Amino acid sequence: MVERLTTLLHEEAAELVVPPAPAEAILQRARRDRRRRRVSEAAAGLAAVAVVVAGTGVVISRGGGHESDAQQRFASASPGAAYQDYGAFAAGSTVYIGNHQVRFPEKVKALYYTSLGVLVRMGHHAYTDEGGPSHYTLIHPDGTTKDIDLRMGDRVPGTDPDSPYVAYAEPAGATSPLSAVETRKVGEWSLVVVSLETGTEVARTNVSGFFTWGGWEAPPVDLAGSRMWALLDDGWTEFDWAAGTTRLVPGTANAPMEAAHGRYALYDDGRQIDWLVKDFVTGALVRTVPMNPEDNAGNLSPDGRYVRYDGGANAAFGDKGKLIIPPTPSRFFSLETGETVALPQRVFWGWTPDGAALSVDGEKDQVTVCDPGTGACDRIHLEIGSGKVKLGGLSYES
Amino acid sequence: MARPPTDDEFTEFVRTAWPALYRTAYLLVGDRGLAEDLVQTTLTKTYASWGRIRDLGAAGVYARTILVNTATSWFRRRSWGSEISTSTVPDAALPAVDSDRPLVLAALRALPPRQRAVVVLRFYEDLSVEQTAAALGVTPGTVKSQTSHAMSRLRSLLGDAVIPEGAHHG
Repeated sequence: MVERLTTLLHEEAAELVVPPAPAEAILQRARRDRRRRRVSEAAAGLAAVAVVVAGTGVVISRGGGHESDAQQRFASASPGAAYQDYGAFAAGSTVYIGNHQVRFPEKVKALYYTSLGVLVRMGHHAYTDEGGPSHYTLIHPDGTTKDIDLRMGDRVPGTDPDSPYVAYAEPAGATSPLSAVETRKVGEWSLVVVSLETGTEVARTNVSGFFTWGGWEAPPVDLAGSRMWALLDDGWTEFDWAAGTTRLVPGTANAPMEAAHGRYALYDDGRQIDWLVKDFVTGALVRTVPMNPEDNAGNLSPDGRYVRYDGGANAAFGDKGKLIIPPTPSRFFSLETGETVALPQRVFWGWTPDGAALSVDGEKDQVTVCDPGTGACDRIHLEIGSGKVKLGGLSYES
Repeated sequence: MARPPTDDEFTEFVRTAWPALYRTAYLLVGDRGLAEDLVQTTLTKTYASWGRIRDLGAAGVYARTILVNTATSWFRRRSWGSEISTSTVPDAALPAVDSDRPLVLAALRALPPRQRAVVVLRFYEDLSVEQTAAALGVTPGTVKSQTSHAMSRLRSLLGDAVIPEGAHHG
């Protein structure tokens, strides 16, 4: 569907008259820069110690007091409170939920917040588009687990931190996974809701529409209350399973894939840079999110209260995952107050169920949880095993 | 390669990598002079890590990552409007003309930097979602969502002829 765009880009590039490479000049400039860098690094050696100490001092604990107080709060929190306050993440095959942890024989692919705990998707590899089977387990805040019989394949399910359900879409009547080509021809989709309390399907309906844009086996889904939404080509399609009704949400034909807790994003008709965050049910504008041209859109918190402007735009990894270029600080916009708060630079910020920003540094055994409304952070020391880190509240469906 | 590559090998790498990097740079910044400046800066930065490179085959990937992130940092730290005439950056749908090719660059300039980078990497460089994510240092999910945002905007600017209905999320 984007072949024309690809062709145009290649035609544009092919017609370029490429100037000769100034190889000698580049080499001379590079050598000069290297000499200057060595001199400046030597001069900065002692100053670096002072920066580290000052950096520790600026962390403001969310509950007040020192970092040791935050550690104490973390250790003594009840399982339910710890889940809400510190969320969940995974490293390799171990899931850390609140102040509990659970180890699995398979690698974690993704984590989904629900009101009952975190739903974990796992398999042979950490990637969600791996061809092998995925297994789903609900981890309660106290660390107890319950296997959930789901066969969703490579698609984006919908969950909500206040809901005990998981929702997804599938080609109506399909008995086995479809290829990408076959998926584009599907004109009718089943929207399915499964209770995580019972592990059984509680609602299903069929809707018409095509899904050609995403590359998954089915359109991505969002969920809140007794409604779910699937993003088809025509826009967000709603299924209210309590009322037994479906409808196309007006004005969402060109909506990007960003929705959480009953809210969704649209581009402003004017500048087409700013976001309009709206309520799915009422259609009311929650707030306009101002964006600069250099912003890379944003990400709604699971509770729908905050938007995170991407802060990792300048981060880059080299060989073996080594960070080559560190990220810039992340900014968070409150949909309640309209204020923006900057948090420390991290490559990835995930979320806790209650909308706090969550970051994990596996090498330093450190978990950082910050209030995006105030900028106050708790820094927790936690022994974190090896393996790919996955944060709650982030999309890992590739 | 057990030893670090030599300066002669770096010079040869510059000559080999230059054309492809220049073309990608031009799509990212839309200006020949800036594209040349961007590639020179990129290769200079690449040299800073040259002593750690053990596989010349990976040097191209490394340079491309630096190029994309350098371009993004340029967009962040200075007014892009002062570098590129703002009259070429559209605010709304572009007018239809016989050839839509020149409009592609204008539409690309209207995208935020990483969305622009995602479009160039995925649909010009033909990188997968995973490769694009690695180049930009983001999650595959972020690449998906960035593509979704970019396709929405490009379709509104270029119309159905380039981004057909149903492909707007990419």
